[in-house]
Amino acid sequence: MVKNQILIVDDSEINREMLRLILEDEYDIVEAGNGKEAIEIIEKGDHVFRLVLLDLVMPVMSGYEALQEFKNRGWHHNLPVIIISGDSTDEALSKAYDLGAADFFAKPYNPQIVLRRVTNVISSREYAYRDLLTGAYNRLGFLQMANNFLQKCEDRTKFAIMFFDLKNFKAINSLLGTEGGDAVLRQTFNGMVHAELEPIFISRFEADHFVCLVEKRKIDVAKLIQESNQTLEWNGHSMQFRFRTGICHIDNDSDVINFVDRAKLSLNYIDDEYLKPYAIFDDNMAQNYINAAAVTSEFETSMANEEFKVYYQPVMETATGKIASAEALIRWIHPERGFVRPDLFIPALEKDGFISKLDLFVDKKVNQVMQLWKEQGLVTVPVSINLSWMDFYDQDMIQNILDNVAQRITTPGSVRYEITESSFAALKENRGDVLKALREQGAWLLMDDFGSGYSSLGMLMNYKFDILKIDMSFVRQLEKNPDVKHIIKMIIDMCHLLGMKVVAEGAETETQVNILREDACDYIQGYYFSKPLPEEEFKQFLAKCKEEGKI
Amino acid sequence: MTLQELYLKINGNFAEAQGRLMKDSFIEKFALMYLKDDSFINLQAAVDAENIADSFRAAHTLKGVAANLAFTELQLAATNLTEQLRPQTETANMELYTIVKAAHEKVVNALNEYSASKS
Repeated sequence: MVKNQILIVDDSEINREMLRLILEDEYDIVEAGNGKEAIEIIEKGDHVFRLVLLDLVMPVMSGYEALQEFKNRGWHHNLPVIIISGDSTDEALSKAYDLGAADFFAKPYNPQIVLRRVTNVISSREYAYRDLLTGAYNRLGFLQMANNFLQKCEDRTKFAIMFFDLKNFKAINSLLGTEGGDAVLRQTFNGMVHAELEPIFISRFEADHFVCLVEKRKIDVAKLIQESNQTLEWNGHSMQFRFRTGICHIDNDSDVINFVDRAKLSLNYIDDEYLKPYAIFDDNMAQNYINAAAVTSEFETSMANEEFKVYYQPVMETATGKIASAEALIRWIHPERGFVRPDLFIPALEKDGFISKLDLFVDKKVNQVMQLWKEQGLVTVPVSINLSWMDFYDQDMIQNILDNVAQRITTPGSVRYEITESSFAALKENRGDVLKALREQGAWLLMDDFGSGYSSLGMLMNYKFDILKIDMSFVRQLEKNPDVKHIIKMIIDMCHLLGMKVVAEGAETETQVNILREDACDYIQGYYFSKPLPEEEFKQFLAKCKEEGKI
Repeated sequence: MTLQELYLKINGNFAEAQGRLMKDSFIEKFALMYLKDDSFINLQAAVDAENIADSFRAAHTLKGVAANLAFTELQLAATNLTEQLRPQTETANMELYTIVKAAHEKVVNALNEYSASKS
């Protein structure tokens, strides 16, 4: 671990050296001969000082002037100053405290007092950059230290960021209480401090996530696998907990936060949490890496530049092979990055509340296109629009949708909305009646991604849907796992009993389609019939269906 | 010449120096650093130039250094001059300055003698 850094400012070398002698076992010391030099050193940014020891009477710039400058620059909030001076008059003390000094000691030095006061002042400010529960750095402290460290080292590519995700932390908290959870966090930190990995900096970055800066050569994946399973012995309980680890090698000069983000992102690429509970960020992931902040900052411009395109994926009737409807899907074609995956940009837009704008855009666009085609005498089918859970927190959005439905509805089901299980909580908290209002106006509601989450059946109990869409993960397993056929059959039968139709998503093979047909699944959506199509190709697809009588 | 003898010669407080610096080797190191210290030279220059502010600063620094080294006689002399200069209204009192100069020279001579006895 790296020592905390202290800046000693005194015009006498003897005085500085004496302080150095007292402090250097526990702290990393930097010296300045006057206030001006001190400010230059701090401004240069090569150090992260936890304390300044400041003499008052100095040539060039006095301690008082330096304190005033610290205050002007706002440094006094994060950088405590202890005054060291031969003057301990009330006047001198009160002037120094008024200017923001944290403490004072007089010359000549008493080593015990110096060390004690220095330690006290530094630890009283630690909450700003340390996690008080574990003693690890917090997010701010880690980024500060790691950035500073990498700036100064000759070859930063020798280092890597490791992002540790504690897997069953919530379970531990609910079984053992927060005290048990705290014990896990402390044990984790202590384990890292003593690990052969010898991290340079360790942080509890957020709730149950730890981030370390390490030397690449010290990463031993065999050990990582072995140590990803841990046991907590606490108050007579024995509890297992696990880690997943994302690793990102530092390969450029950008801010450490970017490498932390990438290490975290690589967690998504861990296939088997037990056999290989880690992933190393690579070029393939890099292509998919979209900085969330960049997404939201570019969103308005991208909207204005029409980079967002609506694609249409046909939904076919299983029994006849005719087209029944389509789902509108948003695609982002970025001028530099090309095709951006929706699962990468949609969560970012949801976080920042932009998603409703995008949903409304899709809603309008689809309506315009279908309207135009009808006017041109072309065939159309009902197209369903996805609503995000965020939309239910936005009163204007809800009103907009209700107004649009009222205007557009021609026959029952000509307007359709898909919502997922994740909207369940939002609906409960906000306007649970909005779904009812939509249906009363004749719009159809589709329950999307059924089976991928936890609350599916509760959702069906509380709200009425017209169509249920079975999550593609089921269909994908259909040929591999014989149990899945029974699960799908059961879902279909249940839906029919509840008066709902069923769409199976993600069908890619003839075998899958045949099984779904045997099970009386009403509709199928998937690459077997068609991938999502841009507007013009979808128009041709519809025309072809009409020609072949498949509509 | 021993360190105790050195401190005796300059009217310093060896026990205080020991309390602060723990080891004799440190006391020797810091005491000898005084030979390269420019506090007195700065004081002399400021007094010669009749620069009141610089005189005060230099006397103040010398006072601090002497206190840390437990060079008691020099410390007291520098303290008296510092307090005379503190209001920063008058130039250095030459009587007080002469006492500082004498104490400084006593320290320098004794340190040189100590060094010579070691080599």
